Amino acid sequence: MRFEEPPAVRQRRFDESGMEILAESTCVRILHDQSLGRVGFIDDDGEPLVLPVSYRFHRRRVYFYSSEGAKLRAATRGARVCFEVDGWNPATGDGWSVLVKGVCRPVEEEEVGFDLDLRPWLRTALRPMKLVEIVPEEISGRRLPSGPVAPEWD
Amino acid sequence: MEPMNPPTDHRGLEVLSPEECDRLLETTPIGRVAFVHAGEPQILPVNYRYVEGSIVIRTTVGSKLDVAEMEGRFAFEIDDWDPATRTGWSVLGHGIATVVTDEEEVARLEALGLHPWAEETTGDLWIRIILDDVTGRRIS
Repeated sequence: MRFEEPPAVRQRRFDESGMEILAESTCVRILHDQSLGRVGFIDDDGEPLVLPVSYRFHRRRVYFYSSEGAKLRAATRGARVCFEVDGWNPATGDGWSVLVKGVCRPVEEEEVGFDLDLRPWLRTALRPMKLVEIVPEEISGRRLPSGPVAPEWD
Repeated sequence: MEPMNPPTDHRGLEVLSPEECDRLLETTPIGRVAFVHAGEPQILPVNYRYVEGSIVIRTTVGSKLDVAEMEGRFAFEIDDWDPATRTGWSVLGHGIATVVTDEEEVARLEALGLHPWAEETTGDLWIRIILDDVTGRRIS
């Protein structure tokens, strides 16, 4: 995947650690392009958990399937979660990441009203899979400033 | 006697052996740390090394460090996924994070040649997450 080079007229912004701040429109494009992300949430004991998921980004929402378990419990609670995608090119050292913060809840396929073409990460799941939706409240992204061209996902 | 098939978990996923998890932790350059910051879950990608059962990361001053200074619980994750074949694996671990302050140990860690995800290092610090549980799964 290749991102467009930002126009020279556009001001590139950097955070305090020297990483380029990606425009939200770029983050949204990345979220549409990728298929593997990680959901982060806090479990019942207050511990941070992170799980990889196969996902789709549709109408500004993140969708993924979950078997019964911690992910679904978090969704049922309407818990605050974060969602991350990243990429890194070992040849150039370029890297980027996008972070979504929001609330998640279980949804029915009919509610989405759109074929997500989303097969669960667990193809061989023995337990019923439920669709989970993350409604973003904040979408942000960072990129290592090392290269003049945008990084690629390998 | 060795089982005919690799062990699977309750979801039907192949369970990776501790040796396989160690190998993946030793050879994967990028991972993600998850932690609780200001009451909310956070995930950040990190360059890391796996040293004697611990995840070692190098960081600048920021939210990662605030949590480490509180000896917070971290989750750590690495994965790989091929969308074409829909196969992949993931390794998860949890542990307490601490800042490495011992000078000799810092010198040893410096010798690893590890660079932080963000290159501009003003406050260069090492954080160690001693993993107390590591689990791995393969999807194929």
